[in-house]
Amino acid sequence: MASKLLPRVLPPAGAPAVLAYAPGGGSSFRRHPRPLIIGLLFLWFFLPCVLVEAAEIKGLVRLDGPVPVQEKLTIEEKKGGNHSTEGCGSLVKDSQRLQVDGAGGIKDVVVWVEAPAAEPAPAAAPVLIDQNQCVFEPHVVGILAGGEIAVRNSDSVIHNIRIFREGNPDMLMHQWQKADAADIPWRFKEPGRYVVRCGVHHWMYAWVFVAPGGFVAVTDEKGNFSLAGVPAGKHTLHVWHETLGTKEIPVEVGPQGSAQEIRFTS
Amino acid sequence: MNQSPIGHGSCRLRVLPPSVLALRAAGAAAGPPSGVTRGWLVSLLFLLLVGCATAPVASPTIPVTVEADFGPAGKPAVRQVVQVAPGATPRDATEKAFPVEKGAVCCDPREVSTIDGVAADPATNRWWTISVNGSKKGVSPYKTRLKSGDVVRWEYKQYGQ
Repeated sequence: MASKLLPRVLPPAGAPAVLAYAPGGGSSFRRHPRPLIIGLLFLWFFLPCVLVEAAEIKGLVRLDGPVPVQEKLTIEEKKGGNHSTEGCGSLVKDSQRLQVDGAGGIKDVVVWVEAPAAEPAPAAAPVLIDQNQCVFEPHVVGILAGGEIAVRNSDSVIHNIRIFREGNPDMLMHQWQKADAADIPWRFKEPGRYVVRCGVHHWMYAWVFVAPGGFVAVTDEKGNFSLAGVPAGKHTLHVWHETLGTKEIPVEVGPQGSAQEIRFTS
Repeated sequence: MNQSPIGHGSCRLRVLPPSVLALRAAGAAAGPPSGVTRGWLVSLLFLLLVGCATAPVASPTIPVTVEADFGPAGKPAVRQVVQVAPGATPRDATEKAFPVEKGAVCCDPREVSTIDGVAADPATNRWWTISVNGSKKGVSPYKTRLKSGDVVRWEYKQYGQ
């Protein structure tokens, strides 16, 4: 009966149900409980998604003390055959094992945060590791378990891709790759640290850090990193470098994110 | 009567010559079979057929020298002479000298990945290399066949990067 007495404000077609309420003060709930309940349920389910903000952890990884002299590799020249260095460019190369810029920023440090709320999702596209002038570039990649890499040969020489799990001399994969051959994909199902090596050019290697879930990044040549989309809250930042070792740093991520400076000593 | 020793190694059984055995058998056949005689013959045949069948047969072996230079692993080098069967592989000889683990370090799971607890390490670029009589060419730890006096040398090497 009441619905006949009071004019109803009807929402436009397709509008959320919460707009469908009848004006008329405190008695409207009793008269029209269903739209209000639907509205409250809407808020109950979707408000937390709005309130739990994802933020960014940014930072710098640096080396305390004097900047080490960049180690160089002198490669023996070989002509012809599978071990040829023709097409490898300069035979004096920077070692990739430890690269520190003038300000102490460390390249190729893995920074990983395990965020329980985040679903471990594999990278949508394989992470490319290129063999260019007989060097794997990038030297370190970070992916989530289930993620994939693709190894490319941009050189004019043949390479021999081998993948090992750290601490285990048994190869997981072994494949020749001629110049201009198709990229070689490889999926990492288990978390851990893996070494990619070329079987014919002994100095060529790269690391694949496979995190079990969460967010992972690798520092650039200045030591900077960024982990975007980390849920606000308390987390542990895991840091790893192949020669400097590991660190675990508790971080608190607020709505504005978090800035970190991580220091290693030489 | 002369008795001939047969067998070798730890199995030394003295038996009667066949002529004596034949005479005894003929005598036994002429008269009623004696339980003692029959039992003696059965025992003798059993010993002849079964007892010595399990005797170890010595097979020829050849001496091979196995060397291991542990290099950056920091262990002192070891040199041992081991006896292996002719045609044994370098891995067979190495297994006589050290605990060895197999693995697909390069190309095949039959390769040697660990010698005396020192494992190849892809992360630090440390690997076991093998030579036979100073030559690395064409040497395989599981295919090469060794001859008497061969020298199998393992070197644990670290390459740049």
